[in-house]
Amino acid sequence: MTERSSWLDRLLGRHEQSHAKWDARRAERQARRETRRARRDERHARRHEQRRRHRQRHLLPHPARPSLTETLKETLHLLLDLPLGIATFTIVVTLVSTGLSTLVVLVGAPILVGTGIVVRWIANLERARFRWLLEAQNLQSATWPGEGEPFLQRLWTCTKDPTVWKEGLYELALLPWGIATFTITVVLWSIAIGATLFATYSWALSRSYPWYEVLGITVGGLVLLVVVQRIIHGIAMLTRALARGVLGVSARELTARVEHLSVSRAQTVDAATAERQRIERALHDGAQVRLTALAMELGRARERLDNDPEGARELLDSAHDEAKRALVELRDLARGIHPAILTDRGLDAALTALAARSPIPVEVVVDLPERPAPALEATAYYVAAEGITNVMRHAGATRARVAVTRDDGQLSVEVQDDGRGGARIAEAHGLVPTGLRGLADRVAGVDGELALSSPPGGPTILRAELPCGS
Amino acid sequence: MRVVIAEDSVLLRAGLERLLADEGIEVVGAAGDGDELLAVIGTTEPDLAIVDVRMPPTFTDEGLRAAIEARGRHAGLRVLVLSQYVEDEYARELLATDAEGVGYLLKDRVADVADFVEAVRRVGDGGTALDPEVVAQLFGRHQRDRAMEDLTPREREVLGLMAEGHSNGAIAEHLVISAGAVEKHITNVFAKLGLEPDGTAHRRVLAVLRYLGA
Repeated sequence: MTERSSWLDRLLGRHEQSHAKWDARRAERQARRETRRARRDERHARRHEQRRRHRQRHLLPHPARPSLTETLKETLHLLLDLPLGIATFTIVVTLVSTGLSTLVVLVGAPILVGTGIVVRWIANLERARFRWLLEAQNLQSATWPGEGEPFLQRLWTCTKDPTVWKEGLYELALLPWGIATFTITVVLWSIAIGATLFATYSWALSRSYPWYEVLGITVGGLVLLVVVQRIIHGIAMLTRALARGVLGVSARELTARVEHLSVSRAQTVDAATAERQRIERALHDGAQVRLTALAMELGRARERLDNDPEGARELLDSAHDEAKRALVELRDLARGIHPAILTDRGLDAALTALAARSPIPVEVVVDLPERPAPALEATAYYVAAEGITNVMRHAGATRARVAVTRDDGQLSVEVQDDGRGGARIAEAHGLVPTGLRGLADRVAGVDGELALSSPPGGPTILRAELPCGS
Repeated sequence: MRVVIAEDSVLLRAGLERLLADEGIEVVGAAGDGDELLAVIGTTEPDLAIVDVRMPPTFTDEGLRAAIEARGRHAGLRVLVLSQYVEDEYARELLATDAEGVGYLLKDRVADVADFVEAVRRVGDGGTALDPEVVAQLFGRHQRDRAMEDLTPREREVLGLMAEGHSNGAIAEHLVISAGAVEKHITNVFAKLGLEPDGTAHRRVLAVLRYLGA
């Protein structure tokens, strides 16, 4: 018995022990569950807060009941989706298929460029529609793709522009989307309005309805009106969000732009540093050396004045020459930094003066409605000056032409020669960018672009496009 | 000769005054900017105004504009414009009114005192004095001219010196040739450029300047 009881006790004891273990486990599980729940609540609260902040940040209205005008505009918008969808689908499909099928006979190329422009134009109309009917104020019109570029380049710009592609796809997708939104809108409003106005025409129906049914349907209709208003609002907001994704400026483009700006800023800093180093070197090796020599010769002349007046005169002569050479060097240096005539008389006069100093004939054509901003003018001048310097140094040309024109917010400077070609914009070596590389950096500094076409055998065309900002 | 000087740098102004005084040229007034120059010319009525292009307040070309203005107001006033830079564009503006008694020189030329004083006297006497750099620029514009290409190097030299405003005698001295040889070169130049040969030296200079488009 003792044995048994001891055994039983042991067993029971063990049982109790395991009971205790189970209890502990259960408590543990319970605790874990509670923590999980707490975490979930916390997560929900956080998500809610995030949504609130998001709404605040993006100035989205709190999902309150939309006003009557809003509802009318939203309904109009959703109803317009279908006819516009039919139109855009037809236009895009027709243009693209015509363009592609005639591309082999080259007629297609202008059609495809035209398609790009039409797609952008329709997209801008759509953006206007979203701004007007759905208050999507941040959907701003996009600029024309490849505006002001030569034809073939423009074709390429249109083709590689991801926004044009997105817009095109949007215009195709508008048809099925429009079918859906049009149908839903018409059906929902018909049911709600039909039910609400049931009392006004129930008498005309073949079966007569008892009053409570009429009342019930009317009340149901009124409830439906509110519900449908919310649903329409929801669909409209969804449309707007999708449109923002497709027609809005994408974050990637913004990032690309920011990257471009940081790079061009760094290049400007480099170009400015290089320019300062060049000036420092020119002063150090040129004028400073000449003035030192001048002071030295004047000193020697003073020493000799009493004993050797003839020798002193010779030294004075040479000091005089030295002083004049220093003046010439300083003048050339100052002109290289910023020619006075550019400030006084503008690009035409400055470039004409530059051309007059060139050993080969340089034709200058400046066609500007007004003087550009000083920074832009200076950059344009340097493109021309560096271009002409390069022509003289490397091209072996017999003549050159500089043209400065402006259209559609772009100032373009073109230097062309009849030389041997084969020029290129070298990659920067070390700290100091030189020649065309430095010029490219300088052009990037005003957000412009430098292009060089120089096939072996020539001709060489150096072209800078500088945005005027208007 | 009575001269006024318009120059905003006091150092240069004093230097010019001393230099001219040494040569027996009377400096009757001085000005530091364009407006002051016009006022000083009004009160002192000089024969010649020596004017710096860059002066306050904008430090661009007010000296040039004041000089042109002064010539418009005072008939017979001669002006000699000095500049740190010369551009043929400015020369053209200056000569547009009337080329008699006009000079346009680099400031550096002051260093060659004798040449500078000669230019001052020439302009004071109603002649012209154009900087060799301006003439080089004018030539630059005509470098593809058939007629200009036909000139011999010597004839080009003579044409250049004539455009600067030098007399036949000065040209002969400069090129170390006889006055007769200069005369012959000038006749050739005029024939090749298709210009009407004219008696007085100054009218010949004007014809050359007109031809060069200055």
